[in-house]
Amino acid sequence: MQAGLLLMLIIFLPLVGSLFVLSSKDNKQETFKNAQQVTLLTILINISLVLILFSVCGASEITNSLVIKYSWHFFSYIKLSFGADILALIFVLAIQMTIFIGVLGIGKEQQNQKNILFYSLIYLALLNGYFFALDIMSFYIFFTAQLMPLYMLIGLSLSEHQHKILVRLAFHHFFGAILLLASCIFILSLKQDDILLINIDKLHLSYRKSIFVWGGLFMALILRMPVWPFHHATTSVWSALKNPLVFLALHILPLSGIYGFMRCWPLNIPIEISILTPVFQALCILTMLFAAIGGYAYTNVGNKLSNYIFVYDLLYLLAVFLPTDVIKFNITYSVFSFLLMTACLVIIQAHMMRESTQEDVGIKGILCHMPHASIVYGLFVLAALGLPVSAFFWNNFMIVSEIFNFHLYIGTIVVICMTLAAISLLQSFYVLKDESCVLSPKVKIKDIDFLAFVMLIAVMVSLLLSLIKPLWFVF
Amino acid sequence: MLENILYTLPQSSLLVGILILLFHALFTKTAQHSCFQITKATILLSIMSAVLFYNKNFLPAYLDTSSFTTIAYVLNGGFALVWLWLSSKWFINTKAQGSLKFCILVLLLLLTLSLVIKSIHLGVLFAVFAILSFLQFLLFRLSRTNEELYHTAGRYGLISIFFLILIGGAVFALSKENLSYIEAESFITELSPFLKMVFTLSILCSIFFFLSVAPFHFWFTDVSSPLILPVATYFNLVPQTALWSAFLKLHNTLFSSMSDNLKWVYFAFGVLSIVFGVVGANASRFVRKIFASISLYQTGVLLLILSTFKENITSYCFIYLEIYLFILLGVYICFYAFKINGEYPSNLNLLKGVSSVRPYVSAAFLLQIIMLIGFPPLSYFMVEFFALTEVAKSPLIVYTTLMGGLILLPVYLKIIEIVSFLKREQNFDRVDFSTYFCLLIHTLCLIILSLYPEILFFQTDILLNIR
Repeated sequence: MQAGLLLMLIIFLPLVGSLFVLSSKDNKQETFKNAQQVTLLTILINISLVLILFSVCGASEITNSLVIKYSWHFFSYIKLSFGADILALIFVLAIQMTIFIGVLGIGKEQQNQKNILFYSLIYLALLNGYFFALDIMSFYIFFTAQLMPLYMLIGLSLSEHQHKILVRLAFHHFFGAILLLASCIFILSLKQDDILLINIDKLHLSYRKSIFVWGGLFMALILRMPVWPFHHATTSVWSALKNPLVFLALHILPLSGIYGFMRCWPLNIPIEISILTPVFQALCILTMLFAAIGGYAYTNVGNKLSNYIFVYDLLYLLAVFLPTDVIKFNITYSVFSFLLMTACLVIIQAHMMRESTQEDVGIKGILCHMPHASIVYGLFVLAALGLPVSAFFWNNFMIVSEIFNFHLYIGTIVVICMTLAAISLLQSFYVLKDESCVLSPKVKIKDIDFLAFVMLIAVMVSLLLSLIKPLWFVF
Repeated sequence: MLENILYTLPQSSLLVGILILLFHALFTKTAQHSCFQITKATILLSIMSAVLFYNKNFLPAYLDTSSFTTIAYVLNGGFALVWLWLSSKWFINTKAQGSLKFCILVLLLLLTLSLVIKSIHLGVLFAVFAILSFLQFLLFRLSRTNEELYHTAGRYGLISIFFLILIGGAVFALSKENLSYIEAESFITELSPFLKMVFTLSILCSIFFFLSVAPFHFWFTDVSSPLILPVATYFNLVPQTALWSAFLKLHNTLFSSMSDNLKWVYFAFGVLSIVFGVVGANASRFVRKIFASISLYQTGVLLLILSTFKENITSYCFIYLEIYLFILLGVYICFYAFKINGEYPSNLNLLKGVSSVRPYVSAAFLLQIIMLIGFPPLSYFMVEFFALTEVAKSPLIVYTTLMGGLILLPVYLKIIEIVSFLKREQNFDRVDFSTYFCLLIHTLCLIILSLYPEILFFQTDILLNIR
């Protein structure tokens, strides 16, 4: 019962925090500081609650102590079930830390900070609900509900002429949500008690309904991923976003799609849609290849990082479709490290962009003026390349070897794509460290805050420790 | 005798209200405010007496009083009260003339709508539809602000006469003793299939005209924008409950025996309404027209759900309609709050950046838009979800409804963008405290309904036994 209460607290605490953020005074000087502090405090409490839950949740399976159910008297066939296992908790911890890093990286001069922090906390609460959902109804509710604060975040960050891309993105996501809703309607119209996500494949559906259910579920989750032909909406918003927190919020969305597949997709793809599997894999591989090569078409470091993220999202998507259960934890650990690394890289890049815009100088060689940022940025780039400095290395190794085991050609292309993406990221690092572009001493470029530096080093240390033991923080 | 007079109180109180208004007008010439106060008190009395005599009937052969008709009338009266309250603000703010005429029309309309709800006799239905169309024609003329609207009122009058002739023809074809819904049903089952279809379609199309189902919707969507705000509010909010109640009764009695043929008719009209609704909403930049088109889409959804002719589906449709109207009521309260230099803007672009100066009204408006998009777990989603779960055996209906909603998404996003993301260009007038209070109550009700959707479905088999 206490564990259940903790679970609910993790979901609802950010909502309470968001109300505090909303109630902060509209004094421009102080508002941001107050709202930021409230947001950080809320997330910190949530992180500590997640860590407590880790110690309660010993086994990998969902334990009964961590499952809570709500039912409506009128609709007895609908029971909202929430629960947590290690998998869900790692995802939840990762997104709390990502948003925490994002909140630290948000600049004081950016517009609508109070509203952005308000919506980011609501988004966080709904994401937590999504990761803890066990049944199809609550899964759908949180799957769709999280889109609204996300659109508000993006809408508040984009400039006036960029709003069309938001409509395109929303159209994609809402199309997926509608397909999932249709699946949900067909499943719940059976009026069976307690339909959990893991039991969907055990339902007796007619052939036609089965196509609707599995097709809808598949499309709903795939529409969150940047797979051709749906990639353009996501990538265009990525490249338009200047706010690091909003960028990270959008970055979490494809990973929530990955989690959805891990949670409800059966090991053996349903026969009704299995015929489409090779087509889908080919699409994934092609998109991955184009994304990896596309990184070289850009000179902007932000776009290079976006393409790098794009490639890894597709790697995880390919991995969750492998007909094996053994790498589920490898995917989760890898996603954890991946989220933290990219979050840190994004906020350092955002700081560099802000400084270069303020001082009206180019981005080339800017790291030569920022010793602290240079150290941490270098470390995170090395980790992102796949060098053995974090759990990212081991787990990606396992994922890739499993892909090789499944299909040699696919494995080869995946390795090529990962290498290309890594080189592209390294290239951007060299541009930032280019000593031939060192600016005159008159230009004063501010380094990252000492507090931010310490926090980034702490993240790096935790990633290093995860190389030795992935769940080192659980006692 | 005295008992029967008492049972007429929900209707007779409205007539008494009209007399009081006339007397009041004779003695005081300039009391606009008191006119509205008298009308509100009369409607309140009528609602209370309807609740008090919820199962008492004074003309059982023609009118029916049941828990369903009482609920429908209370909801109708509730919407009328809020409408009247908003209209009084409009009349006072714009210093417009004709508030007495308006108040008398309101009471007459409510009286007619109460008879529409209670009617179980085709002759009575024909008569009240004739009165209703005449009163609505007067309401059109009350709001004539330009030449185009004058012609539209004329067109509305002519076409409503055509549909009245249709329904009148069907009524006169029946003998006197076959005019009640149940007897008419047994009468038409004995007719040849062709005559049966002609008879049913003439009644159905007439009701569809008053319900503004596509393709008979022009008078409803086209005039929403040029009409003065109180009249536009009436057409969007007030008659819907009464007209749908009458239709649902006919659906369960007269039309139920022809379900095999009528399901395709319902489906065709439903799809047409959805298509016209989503296209109209996407094509327009006038807020009231956009919401009129969204109402058309909702009408289509209701017809699609009803086309299954499933048992008890009418109660789901009724709840769905009421939730939609309740959200729309919130939208209209916001329209009355968005005021620029004493004018109520109808162009969406005039609302640019309103959230920066009117954050609370905009937040309520945003919540209503989010509800209409269908975001879970808000009340509109819940009702739509349960209604669609009931008709899940027809995937075509489920997908048509949901895809229509998807095509409406750009419209909602455009509204959100204009209200929340863009920079302000206009100076908005101060919103009075009572509007804030009303919005707060409305929002609280929506939140409660979202948290406890079972309230909406409480004992529907008894309370919403539509016969």
